[in-house]
Amino acid sequence: MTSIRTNGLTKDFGELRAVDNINMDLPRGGVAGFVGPNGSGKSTTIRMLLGLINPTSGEAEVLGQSIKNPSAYLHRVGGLIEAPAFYPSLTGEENLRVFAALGGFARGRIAEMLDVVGLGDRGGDKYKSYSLGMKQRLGIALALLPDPDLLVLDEPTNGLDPQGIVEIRSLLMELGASGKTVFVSSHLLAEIQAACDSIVMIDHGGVVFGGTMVDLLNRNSPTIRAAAENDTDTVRLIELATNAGYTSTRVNGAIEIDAPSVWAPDLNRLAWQAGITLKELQATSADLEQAFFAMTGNNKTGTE
Amino acid sequence: MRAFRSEWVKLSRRNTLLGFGGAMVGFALLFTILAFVNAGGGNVDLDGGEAKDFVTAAVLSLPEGSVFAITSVGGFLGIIALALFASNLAGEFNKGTIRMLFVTEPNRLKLLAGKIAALVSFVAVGVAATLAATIGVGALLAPGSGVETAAWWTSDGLAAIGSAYLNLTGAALVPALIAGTIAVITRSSAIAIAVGAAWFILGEMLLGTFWDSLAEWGPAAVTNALAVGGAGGAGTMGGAAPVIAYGTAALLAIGYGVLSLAISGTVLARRDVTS
Repeated sequence: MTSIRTNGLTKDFGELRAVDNINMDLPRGGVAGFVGPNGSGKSTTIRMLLGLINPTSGEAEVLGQSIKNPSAYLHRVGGLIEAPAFYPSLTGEENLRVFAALGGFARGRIAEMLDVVGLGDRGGDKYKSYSLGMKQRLGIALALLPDPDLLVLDEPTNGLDPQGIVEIRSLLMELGASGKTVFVSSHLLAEIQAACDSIVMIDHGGVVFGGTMVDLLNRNSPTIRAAAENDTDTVRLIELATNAGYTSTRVNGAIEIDAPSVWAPDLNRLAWQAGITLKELQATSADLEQAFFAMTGNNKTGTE
Repeated sequence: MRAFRSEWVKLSRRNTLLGFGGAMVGFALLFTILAFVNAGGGNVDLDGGEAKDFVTAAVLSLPEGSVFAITSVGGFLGIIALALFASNLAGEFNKGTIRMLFVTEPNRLKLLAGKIAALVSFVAVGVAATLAATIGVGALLAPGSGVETAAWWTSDGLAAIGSAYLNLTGAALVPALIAGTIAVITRSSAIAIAVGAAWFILGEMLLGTFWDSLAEWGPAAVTNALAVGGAGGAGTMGGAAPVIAYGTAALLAIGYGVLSLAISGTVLARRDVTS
């Protein structure tokens, strides 16, 4: 069972192709990240999934229902799209009351959700007096109001302080572990890496990776760095890696081997058996940032 | 029904009640007081013409005297309703709340219907409160102005109040629905209010000097005719007496309302929400 499935999803704005033939298959349950550079089409994709814009071509299903009929599934979906937008002269609690009445959600959940996002004691304050972080928390409270099976959050940690980021991350992981699906886009790649089980990475409107976080990190992990005590042994070290089926590159007197970190003890053993003394052996796991830049070919910092 | 209730959470806020409701009642009371002061010999030129002949104690003592002042300036209620509709509908786009509304209620036509129904009911309540306030203040001022109020409470008088309520509500809704459509199309409160108010206060009248038939079907002409009960009634807001028969005005008002709703619904249902 999938929570989100797209097949050739495409959106053009005039001459501009914002989303190009996106295919993804997101399983139910867990936390999935959605990352890509600025202008890669993340927000447009999310808007199509939430029924706000119509695709130019292709199709998609959310919770088993076609996005052509958003009424069939949106009552089971909580959404936060870009910056939260509420009525400035209403209090946080009144704002949630507007949407609870509209969606037919139980009013009792309003106080409960305000507590969950840490706004329990500020629900009576006007929205216009909220900080950016508080506005973001209110947006998340709104997304949680329908007790959704799928939560789609666009940049939910924007404006939050470090404490708030940790709290929201814990909340999302808790929701994912409880069987709900959380689909979250974020600028903060470290946060995505920490919170997500799976990831969809897009660039120039198309998917460049879709799968588990572990797969992505392993795929992009040339991460065993080794150096022989004697330079003359470097070539033999490369041969050991090659014989084991891995490619390696010389880097400043050492070699970097495109192999999973679990192979590092094997390399140590093979080198010892071959009479090579290692002066350096480092198994570094790749992080999402490295994977992101490797897959998008973008060396600038920051994403959309 | 859910969209209706949701909209009323906002409309029942004190600021909205005092802002729009207060403006309706305030305007009406101002003209009621002026009418009664004039009838009492204060010589207030209410319609820009022959004031003494227009508002007299005798006129105000007729069965329809209780609603004479408010129906004579009924067009103002339309301008206030226009501002309410335009700011409410365009405000959803300005604030960005439209996308959250659409995610919560994906059936956009249901959402629009609920919002419009809530706004219409707000205007209907506002007109009722305005009528009650003007009749009450009129009754208080009547003895000092030499106005007899006995005829106000006869069956003819009560029927006049009922007719005035329906006519004023209808007259307020024509500009409101048209401005609401402009708001949905332009997504700008300022443009919708400016264009709507300019047309209803001055634009149609100016255009009418070159285009005679406009007085027979133009929305401002229809609004004025409806407010005063059709051809033969006094002109509203100092304007000329309407030439449209009551039945025609009612039909045209319904036509403008239906057309406005159809355009708003079509635009809202088809448009992508991109920002």
